Amino acid sequence: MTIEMPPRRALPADVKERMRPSTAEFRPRRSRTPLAVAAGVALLVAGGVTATQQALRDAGPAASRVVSPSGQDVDRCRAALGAPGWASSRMVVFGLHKVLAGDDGRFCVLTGSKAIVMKPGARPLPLAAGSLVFRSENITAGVPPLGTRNVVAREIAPGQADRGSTASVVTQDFFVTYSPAGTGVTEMVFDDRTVPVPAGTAPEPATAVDSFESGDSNPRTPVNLLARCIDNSFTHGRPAGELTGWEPLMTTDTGGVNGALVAHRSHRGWGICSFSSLGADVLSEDNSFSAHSPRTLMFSGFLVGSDYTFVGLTERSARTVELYDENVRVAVADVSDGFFIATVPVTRQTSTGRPELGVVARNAFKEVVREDMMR
Amino acid sequence: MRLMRPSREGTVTVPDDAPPDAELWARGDERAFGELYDRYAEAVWNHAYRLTASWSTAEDLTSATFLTAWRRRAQMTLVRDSALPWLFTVAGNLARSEYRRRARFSRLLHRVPRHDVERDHADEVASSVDVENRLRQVLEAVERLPRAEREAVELVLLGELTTAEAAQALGVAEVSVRSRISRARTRLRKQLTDDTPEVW
Repeated sequence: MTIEMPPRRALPADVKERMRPSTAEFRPRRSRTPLAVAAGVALLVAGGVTATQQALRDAGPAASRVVSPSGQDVDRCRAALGAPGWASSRMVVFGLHKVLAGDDGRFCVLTGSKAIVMKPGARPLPLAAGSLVFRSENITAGVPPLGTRNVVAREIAPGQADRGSTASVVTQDFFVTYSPAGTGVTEMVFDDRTVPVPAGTAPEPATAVDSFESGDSNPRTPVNLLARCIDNSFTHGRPAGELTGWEPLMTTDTGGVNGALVAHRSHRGWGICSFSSLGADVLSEDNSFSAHSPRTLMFSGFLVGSDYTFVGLTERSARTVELYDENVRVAVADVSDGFFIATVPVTRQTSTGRPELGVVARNAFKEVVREDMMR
Repeated sequence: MRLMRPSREGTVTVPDDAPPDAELWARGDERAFGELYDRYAEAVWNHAYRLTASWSTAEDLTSATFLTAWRRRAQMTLVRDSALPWLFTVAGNLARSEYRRRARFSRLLHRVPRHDVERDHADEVASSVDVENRLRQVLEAVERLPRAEREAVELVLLGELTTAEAAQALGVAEVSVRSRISRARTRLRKQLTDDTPEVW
C-alpha cells in the first residue's frame, strides 16, 4: 500500500474569514461585510481569537513573565523614541528594569530615572538564527528562532573573564536577556545552539535619556534625585527588593551643585543619597540609621564657600535641633525621624576639617531630649 | 486578462502586477498584511492540515500562524520574495510547541472525529478516511524524528517546498536539508514498515 498526501482543498470563504487573525489589539477591525453577516462572523472570529490567545498564554513560563505596561510607561518610551505612535502591549520586568516590546519590533527599557532606547535608524542584526534588535549594558533583546525556549547573551574575550546574561524571557515573538553585572555580546545561545555575533556587527549599545517615573522632567526634584540614586544602587548590585518603597524624607537645596537627600522606607529604614555636579551617588545606609544612637552624628557634609551643609542624626523623639559653635547658636533645623539637615558657617579650622558643634535637641514640647557634641 | 505568475500548483497564484511579498512585508501595515493573508491563507491552511490531520485544528493553527506573522512583521525581513517558507516554518513550530508539546498532539490525532469535514459522496468519504488515517500514522512517525529532520520533513515532504526554500526558512545550507531528508526517509521507512509513501 502506498499513501499520497491529502489533496489540497480550495479554502471556503467563510473558513477564510473565520481564520483571519484579528488585528483589533492594534486597531479597530474594519467591517467589509453586511451587518447581519458581520455579526455572525464576529462570533466565529472571537472564538478563533480566544483559541489563539489561549495558545499564547500556554506558551510556557515566559507567558507569566510578560505583563502589560502602563500607559505612563508607554508614554515615556514614546517620548524617548520620539515616536508618538509607538505602541506596546507586552513588558518584561527584571528587577528595576522594565523592558517594553514594541508592536513595531523596537524595544525600550525603563528605570525609575531613565529610558534606554536604540538610536534612530538602528537596524536589527540578522543572525544565522534569530536576530539581535536591542543591546544595552544589562539588557539584550531580539527575535528568537522559532521554538526557542531559552536564550543567553554572552561575551567571550581573550584574557578576560566570560560575561553573560543570567536570566531570560523568551516568547514566540521576542526574547529579552538580563545581565545584572552587564555584558557585551560576542555570541548568542538559543537553547543548545550557539550563534556567533561577529566583532563589530552587534548593534551599538542603546543610549539612556532622562525619563522619570514621577512624570516630572526636572531631574533636581527630591523624588527624581532619589530615583536616580536608586537606579545607581541597583546598577551597583543592590538587590531590587532592597530598593523599592523608598520616599524622600528631607533634602538640602536641590538646586545647588552639591547636595544630600535623606530617604525613608515606611519610616523604618533610612538612607542618604548625595549628589553633585557629577550626578547622584548611590543610596547609602548606615547601621546607626536604624539603631538608637546615643550620640548625635554628622553625615554627608560638604563645603560651599564658607558654609558647611550636612545631614545629622540625633534623638528620634526630637522635633528641632539647635547647633552651637563655641556657645554661639549658628543654626536651628527641623528634625524628622531623628534626621536633620543644617547649614552652618565655618569660622575656624578644626582637627577634623568639619565644624565642631554643640547640639541641643528638643521634642514637640520644647523639652530638651538631648544635649551633646556632634561627632 | 491578468497574467499569473507561475507558483505552487494548487496553492498560490499571484497576479504578475501584484506587489511582491517582500514589498508587502516591508510595508507592514494592516492592509498589506491582509493582502498577504489573502494570498497565502489557503496554502497555510492546507499545510496546517497536513501537520495535524485535522481540519478544525488546522483552522486554529492557521489563525495562530498569521497572528504570529503579524506580530513579528517588523522584526523579520524577507530575504527572498516568497513569505510562504517562513509561514510554513511558523506553522510547523506552532504545531509542535502549542499542540504537540502539550502532549495533546498524539491524543488529538486519535481523538479527532474522522468526519470533521463535509464529504460529498460516500466513496469520497471512504477514500478521505483512509488518507487521514494514513496521514495520522505518518505524522506520528514524523513526530519521532530528530528535530532537525522533522523540520525538514515538514517543509519539504509535507509542505512541498523546494530544498532551497526550506534551507532559507531553516537558516541552513541546502545540502543540509537534502541530507536531513535522506536520513528522515530512511527512518520513516523503518517506522512505517510495510508502507512507503510514494511521495517519499
